[in-house]
Amino acid sequence: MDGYAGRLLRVDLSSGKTWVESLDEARARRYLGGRGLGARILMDEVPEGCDPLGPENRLVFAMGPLAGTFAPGSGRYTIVAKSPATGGFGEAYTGGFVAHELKYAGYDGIVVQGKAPEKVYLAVTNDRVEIRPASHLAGRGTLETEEKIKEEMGDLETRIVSVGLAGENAVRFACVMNDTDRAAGRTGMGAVMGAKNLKAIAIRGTGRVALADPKAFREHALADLAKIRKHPWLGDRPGSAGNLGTAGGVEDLSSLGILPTRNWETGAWEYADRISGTAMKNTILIGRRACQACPVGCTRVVRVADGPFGGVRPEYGGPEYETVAAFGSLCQNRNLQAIALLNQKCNVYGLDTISAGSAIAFAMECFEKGLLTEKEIGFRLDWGDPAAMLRLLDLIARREGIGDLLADGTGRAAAKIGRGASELAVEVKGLELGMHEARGKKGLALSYATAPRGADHMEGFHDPMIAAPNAWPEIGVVQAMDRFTLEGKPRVVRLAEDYTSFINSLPICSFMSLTVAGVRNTEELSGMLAAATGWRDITIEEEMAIGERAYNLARAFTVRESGGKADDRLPVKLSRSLRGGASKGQVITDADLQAALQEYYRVRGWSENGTPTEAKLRELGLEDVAQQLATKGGGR
Amino acid sequence: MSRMIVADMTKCTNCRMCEMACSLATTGAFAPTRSRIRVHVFAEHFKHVPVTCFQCADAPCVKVCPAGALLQGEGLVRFVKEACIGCRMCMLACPFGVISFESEARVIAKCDTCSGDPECVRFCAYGALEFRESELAAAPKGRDFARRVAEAAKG
Repeated sequence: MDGYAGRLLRVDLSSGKTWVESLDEARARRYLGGRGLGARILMDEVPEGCDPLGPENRLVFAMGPLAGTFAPGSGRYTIVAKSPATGGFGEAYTGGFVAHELKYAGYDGIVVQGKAPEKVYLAVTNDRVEIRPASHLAGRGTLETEEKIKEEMGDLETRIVSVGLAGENAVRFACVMNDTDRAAGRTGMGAVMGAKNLKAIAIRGTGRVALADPKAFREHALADLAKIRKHPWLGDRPGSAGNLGTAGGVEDLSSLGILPTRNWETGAWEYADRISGTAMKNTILIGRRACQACPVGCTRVVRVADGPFGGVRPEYGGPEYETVAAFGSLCQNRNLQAIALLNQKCNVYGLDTISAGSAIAFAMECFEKGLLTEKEIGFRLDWGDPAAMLRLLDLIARREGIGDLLADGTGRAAAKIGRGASELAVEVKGLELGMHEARGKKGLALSYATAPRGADHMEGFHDPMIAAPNAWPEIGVVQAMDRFTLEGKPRVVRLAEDYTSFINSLPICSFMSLTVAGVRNTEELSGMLAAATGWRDITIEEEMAIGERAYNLARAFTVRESGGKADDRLPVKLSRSLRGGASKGQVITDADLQAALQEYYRVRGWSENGTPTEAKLRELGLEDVAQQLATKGGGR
Repeated sequence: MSRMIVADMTKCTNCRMCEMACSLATTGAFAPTRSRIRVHVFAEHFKHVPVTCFQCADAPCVKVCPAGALLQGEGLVRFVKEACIGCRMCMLACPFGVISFESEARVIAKCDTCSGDPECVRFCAYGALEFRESELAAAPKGRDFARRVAEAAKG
């Protein structure tokens, strides 16, 4: 099958068996790879109600038809499992070099099940697959683990996926790391991997990826490259993502009043310029890197040699936007060197920077309000104190003292603290919000409330994208809309989610797509997909259907695991008036949210309680999923 | 004037487009292990170094080839695949490790600048690879340095 290896590597860590399963073309065309393929496997194989940290959970590493090629942004893969953070559909994306390497080794993905009796790592060199002991790697950081395994593999070009101390300790927001500085951040995939006693996967592939029509593929790729390089934010020019990194827009976000600050109290911060991409460039930045097949190069490389926050090394990369905001404005920390060190520590421990920063900000507000005391924490936890933040981060990764409480995420921690602490926890379904203020871009609020993996900033769209007319005519979004309204947005959210879900099923980096960065490259992407696979008749309508199918699968999984109740809500803080800045006074009332939810369910073809209906699932060819949901009180 | 592939490691981001583009152009599929240009990474020093055949004027590979398969051409070391006997003497002789071996065909492989239109250069989005007139090859680096001097001197 062109574009695909046509094979999935299956690993049962309980029995120590590994085998190869074929991926047939019909399945590939319905689910592509990434999210679609991962969600399908989860729905088929994970028993309802299973423990996310138990042997029955599956951990799926899913590539797709463009991995291995020079399609811009194709150095991307998806990790899917039942989430220990949300109990629903868990999923995280990462870049780097692993997606390509696994394709060259001859696989479209790896499905891990069971639990190893002792700590192990999986060594994959083309057809040679071994489960090797890893007890000597216990507790080691990402770089150390990678160096040791490369030595044992005898090949420096080996690509490594691993978990750190946080994953080993089942921190519910532990991430999976690869290539030292890339993180599959969200929903606790690192905890799932750690719970399987799987310390790492080492991959070396020396084979090839063949395409149906290499000549046409090359033409479409060149056209896509040209568009990306001309794009105002992706092209290489002052202020672009390659020039300033993703944190280049921090000052702009602050002036729009949508830079999450002081645990979501306000969206404007007077010290935004201290932590921005420009500040980074003028101080600690030494350069940039790219993921495989990326023409943008947003990865920052920073160095802080000495001083109180010294020891920041280039191998671990530098903080991107989410990290800068989570450890910066959200905690009112204006020390960029400290942010770089916190980022590095997260990469060493394997911690999601968004949830880690959110947990610290939450704890800071609890401390301020007397819900957590100096005695309980072990030290003072004042706003903006970077030394205290570093101490707390260590405790979280080690699950020591107060860190053990926070390692379960802000929602669970708040429930244990009680006394109104839940109002300070800014999460949905157990996943902390991305660093995007939904009161100042209300379409995003709808995604936060409804997305299968919880408060997800990568599913729907960011309202300023459609402030001008004809934003995305390719998918039927032509009307300009104000960022402060929910009116008319449910339809746009649905369309953006379906297209993004297609992008996530390829998967390619969302920056190089229509709905995230506004790259008008839908034709080039269709062209590359068709030329890679030989599916010459593929259309954007089919792509939207693939995205919708994957989205409904993910949603159905979350609904199934939560006993049929979708739990679509927003954090209490978003119903309070936003203080200060250009989005001052903005609020999302429950009445507004409920009205938008009902309209959203209607345009999605879901029941009034948010369950995908049998009719919708049949339309998408998911009859079996309809049967699984039938007992869950879903609408007809 | 002949042209040559010039690499600037300060601009290379390690995206590996060159390796993929090369392997597609020369083998018909994506297979970086068969690329004739390779990016070597030294992460601890934050250095990415693209290396391909330097097309030496006094080339050890040409001298050592017993089959007349490697010849001095117009500004490049020419490889005549049909003449190659697969002895790999050139791989031993090359000081830069830029000659590889095709195990199926049992012949060597090296950069031929895609007959004067290199794919690696076309796909490099960062300007780290350029195909320049030999006499002007060092000019951009000189100018980049001069710009730093000028910026420092402007006060």
